[in-house]
Formats: sequence, structure tokens, C-alpha cells
Amino acid sequence: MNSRGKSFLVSLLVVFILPALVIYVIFSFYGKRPDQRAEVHVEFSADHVASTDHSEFEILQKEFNAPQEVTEACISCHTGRDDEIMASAHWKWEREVEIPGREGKVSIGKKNLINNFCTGAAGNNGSCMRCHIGFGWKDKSFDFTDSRNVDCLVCHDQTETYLKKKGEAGMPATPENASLQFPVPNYNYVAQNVGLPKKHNCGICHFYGGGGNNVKHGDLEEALLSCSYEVDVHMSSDSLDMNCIDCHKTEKHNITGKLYSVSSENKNRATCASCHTDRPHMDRILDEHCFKVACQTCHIPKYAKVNSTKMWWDWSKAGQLDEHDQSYAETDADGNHNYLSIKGSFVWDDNVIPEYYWFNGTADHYLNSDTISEVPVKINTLFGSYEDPTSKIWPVKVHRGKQIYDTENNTLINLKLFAKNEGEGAFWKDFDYDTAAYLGMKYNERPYSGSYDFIASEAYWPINHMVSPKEATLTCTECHSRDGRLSGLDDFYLPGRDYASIVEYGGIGFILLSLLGVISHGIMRIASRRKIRSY
Amino acid sequence: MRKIALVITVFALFSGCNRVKQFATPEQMVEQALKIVKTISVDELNKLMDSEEIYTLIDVRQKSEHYHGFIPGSLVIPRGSIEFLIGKEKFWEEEGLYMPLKDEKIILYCRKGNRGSMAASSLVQLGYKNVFTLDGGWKKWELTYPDLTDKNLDMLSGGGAEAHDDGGGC
Repeated sequence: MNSRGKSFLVSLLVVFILPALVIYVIFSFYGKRPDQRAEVHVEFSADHVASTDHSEFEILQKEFNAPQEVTEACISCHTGRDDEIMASAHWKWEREVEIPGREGKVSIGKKNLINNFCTGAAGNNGSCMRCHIGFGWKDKSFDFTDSRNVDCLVCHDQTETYLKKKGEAGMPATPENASLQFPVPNYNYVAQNVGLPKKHNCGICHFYGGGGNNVKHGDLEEALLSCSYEVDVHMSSDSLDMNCIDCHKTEKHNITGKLYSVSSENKNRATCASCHTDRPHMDRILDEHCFKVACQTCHIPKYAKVNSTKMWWDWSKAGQLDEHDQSYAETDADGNHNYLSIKGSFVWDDNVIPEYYWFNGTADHYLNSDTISEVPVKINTLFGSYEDPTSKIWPVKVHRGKQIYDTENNTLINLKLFAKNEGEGAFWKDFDYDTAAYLGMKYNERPYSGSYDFIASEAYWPINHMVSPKEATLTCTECHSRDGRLSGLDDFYLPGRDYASIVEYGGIGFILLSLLGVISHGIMRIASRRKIRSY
Repeated sequence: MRKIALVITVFALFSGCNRVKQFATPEQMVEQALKIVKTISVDELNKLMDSEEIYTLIDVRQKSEHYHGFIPGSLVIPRGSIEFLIGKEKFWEEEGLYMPLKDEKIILYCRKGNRGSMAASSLVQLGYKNVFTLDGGWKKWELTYPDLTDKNLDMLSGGGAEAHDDGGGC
């Protein structure tokens, strides 16, 4: 090759190939950080091996005639544990919190909050307080200071035979009311086989809240007892098989983790970062997302992966009876109730794509002293915004519905739903809304005008469980696209989603002009060199 | 020699054209179907239902699913039968309905949109020019308009519903 040819090739290299190489290197290596990934704290998935054989203790071999006697035996050795329990939210069902926008502290919890499922626990104790970790909270006379009322077995039973009977305010069956479904527990057998809580201990309440499997949460249900890796990478029986308390670390019976249907403060939370750190990826760009995007947003692309969850509950349809004046039930094509005379009509869904909201870990609630100020009524409000540096985009289940409210006082109504017998005014027995509203509000010491109707409401449940394998996480374009998952969050600029024609076309124009300039310049240089040499 | 090479090349090209397109997952099949099928949102369908425009709304789920809850005014033709019944005048006569013409608007829906998309792509291949699939399907409709739904449980308890599961063709 002569010198002119060589010179031509060098010019080509400078004009086209070198810029392309620079661009390639930038895009290929920017963001890669293979040796800086923080390690997972694996001790969180440690096995739980019982250190004590409780069957050898004489005190657990005596005959127990009531569950309270088991508790007495427990705390005779485990001294002080009852005090820890009685200081917890699991016992009190309320805690004092500061809520942004409200003056002073307020005491909130399942004990006094209104929801848009069964409207509220207070006044329906026989049914709802089955999930209290005590014995017999059947009315306001329950003694919260008596440690004999603490139910140790419901959380520590390893036999899966200990059950609280339905409709008995947290009491197990007695010889008088035992049934095939709810026999009297074998207290010796259960008490001699206790250990750290497993999935079934937590799940007996947290899977079935709202009156059935997966009604409330959407991401917590009985499928997690034995699920596949695709359903939940942590709890699947064929991988880590982790228990709830592996993440919800517990000290002195204070269990970490917040359920924002009843909580308000950004405290005592169980987080992904506690194991995975805040730099969990091999890629700087992905790690930078963690500043504004919750792990759950990408890693839980859908919830209710196995069984459906309740998405809509319309109380205004409740109370219809059949031709024999009996209550009845109807199901949808998947076998879920879509009508119950006692509760109204429902819509269920599975494999649900979450809604996305900014959330900073604090929440407000409709308090029983509030009046309705907006429709739909927000049962709880998740605080957060793009401007708030502590906020992240979070996946949320929104449970919508219509519920009863007082049209004169403009307040949501607590209904009395449960009673054992007809004629006691409970809606589930007598189907009389007026009486049920009157009695429910009376128990909760709230005024009721006697005039009611139904109003739309929404409850927000942040999603945390059913983490998918990394292969099933969200891809970039599921958010970074014009009609992507984040199309509803419009308080910030999102590349790939937001655009202005002038910027889009202007940018493309500048790129083309630059390229044209480079190429023209290169051609001119080549041409001018040829001319110079030809002289 | 050149002629032989030409014949081999032409044969290779044509044999490639005859190969059946393979999909790794059913989701890819749905994605492919959506390339030739138009979608309609639940809000657009709701507006259409209030308008004067003529359309045919077909639920392609099984009858055992349909009667538990469906969009008012929709007819059930399971996906396995739709290609065979859509142009069968006797079927439409028995249903007491007007048979849709090939250029009229037909909207298909299923539970969440997948079966509806596949069925709609079949109708497009049969020459129907104005076929839509409902984005999100019945579940999206039920969640958006819970008060605009219908059910017919009598048809599930022997009141006229076919006892067999009619999922397989004609």
C-alpha cells in the first residue's frame, strides 16, 4: 500500500472508527462494578434448632384443664416474657404514634381503626379477636394486665394441632363446644412441643385476615406454606424455605415489620437492605435506582401469584336473601365468593400488577373521630412524593369498595356484624343495617344519626412478599416507556416515558447535524490532503 | 456447476419459507397475535356500549366460566369453537342474533386477555377486518365496572348449559 492509501485509512480510522470505539467503551463499561458488590448477610436464613426438650419438664406433664394453666406453666420458667408480650402491639392492638399533619400523639391500631373489609374489629370481638394473642377478649371487660390471658401456644406450637375456635374471642374449644373441626387441644402434647414461630404460626392470622385466605394482603397467603421458587424466592420449600421471623427479626417479643393498614411511623421496619445491603447489584445504574425505587417495585412484579386476593368489596349489595329468606353464597369462575348475603359482592383477582405510589414509610389513617372530607374515602394514606428525599416508588395493593357511612354526621360507620344468635342485632344474623350500625357505633362510643348510605373507599397495602426470581424482575421498558407501569406517577421526569416533541426532534436533529459535521469535516480533510499532495 | 448452486439456493430459500414458526412460550404466541390484532380498552368499550354503533361482543372463555360473570350483552363462543361458529348462519339463527359481517366490528374478551388475543388473531386470518381484543379482559372490566356485570348461574345448574366442556373445535 502506498503512502496515500495509508493516509486515507488513517483518516477513516480517525473520522469513523475511533469515535465509535469511544462510544462503545463508554456504554459497555460504565456502570459495571464487578468487585464492589456487597455480600448478603446469610445469617438471617439460619436454621432454628430447639435447644430444649420441653417434654422432659414435669410442669408440662401435669393435666391442664384450661389454656391459661399452660401460660402459667410457661411463664413460671420464662419469667418476664409475659411483660414483653403485654408491651407489644400484638397484645395491645394499638400504639401511640405521631402522624404528620395531626397534632400530638394518637393511639391507633386494630383496636380502634376502621377498615373497608368488615369495617372494624371493635364490637365484633367474638369473631375478630380470635386473632388476638390472648384468651377471651370478648368485650371491654377483658383484662389486659392479666398475664394468664397471654396465649403462648398460638405462636410457639410446633405440632400444628393447636387451634382457636371460631366465634370464641380467641379461646380454644372446650369439652362443651368442641367439634370435629375444632377439638379441645391436647395441651400436654402442644406444650411439650414448642419452639420458635414457623410460617403456620404467623399465617394462621396473617394469611386469613378479612375472613378468608389472601383476602387482605394479596402477598401473604397459605400458598407460602409450601410454594415454588417462582412464587417466593425466600419462602419456597425447594430453596431457602425461610420462616417469617428470619426477616422479621425479633427481640424481647418485639417483632420488626410494619403493616401500614394499622401503622403510621417509619420505625421498627423489616427491610430488604438488612440482608441485601443498599448496594445489592453488580451494576451501578441499578444500584442508583435504590435511591428512589423500593426493591419490591422491581422484584415483586405481581402479587397473588397462586390464589386470588379480594380487590373490591361492595357492602351496599349485602342482605339479599333467597326465596326461603335464607342467606346465600355465589362464586366466580375461579371458585371465589363473588356474592355473600352477609357481606355483599366482591371482585377477586390473581397475578395482579400492583399500583405504584411514592411512599416514605409514614401513613395517615381515617380515625374514628374524623369526618369524611373526600370521596373515595381514604382508609389510610401513604405519604411520599418525588420531592421527598426519603420517598421511594412502592408497589401497592389498593382495596376498593363501598361501605356504610352516616349521612348526617358524615362519618364511616362501625357495624356490629357478629353475634352467636339471631335477635342480638348483628347484621350477619338479622340483616338489619340500621340496628347493626346503631349497635356498632354504640360499642365504639361514636354518634349515629340513624341515617345511612354507602360510600366509595380505598385502602392502601404496600406489597412486600412474593419476591420473584431475578429472571422475572421487571425489565427497563416496563417502566421506562410511554404507557409503562409508572404512567400514573407524574410528578417527575422519567426517561423513556416523558417527552416533549421539540426536545425529541431537536435532540435527533443535533445528533444528525453533528454526524454530518464530522463526516463533512473528514471528507474535506481527505479531499484537501489529496489536493495538497497533487501539487 | 453454477446452475446446480442456483437450484440449491432457491430450494433452501423456499424450504425456509415453509417452516412453521416456533414459539418458546405461549406468551410469545400472544405477543405475535397482538401484532395483527387491535386492542380496545374497557373505557372505550363502555363508551361504545352507550353509542349507536353496531358491534358484536364475544366472550371466548368456556361456558362454565362465562355464566359466573360476564359483560352485559356479550355472547359466549369458547375459543375452541369460534373459527367454526363465527360464520355459521345456523348458529346465529339459533342464538337469535345477527351474524357479523367480515368488515363489522367484533370485540373478543376472555379472562385476562390472552385467549381473546389468540382467538382474535384467528378471526383476522379468516378475513375479519375489524376485530378487537379487550385489553385486560373480563377481570379488568369487572374491576373497573363492578356494577356493570351480569351472571346467569341457572345455566350452570343444568338450566340449559351444555354438560360437556366444549373446548375442542367443532
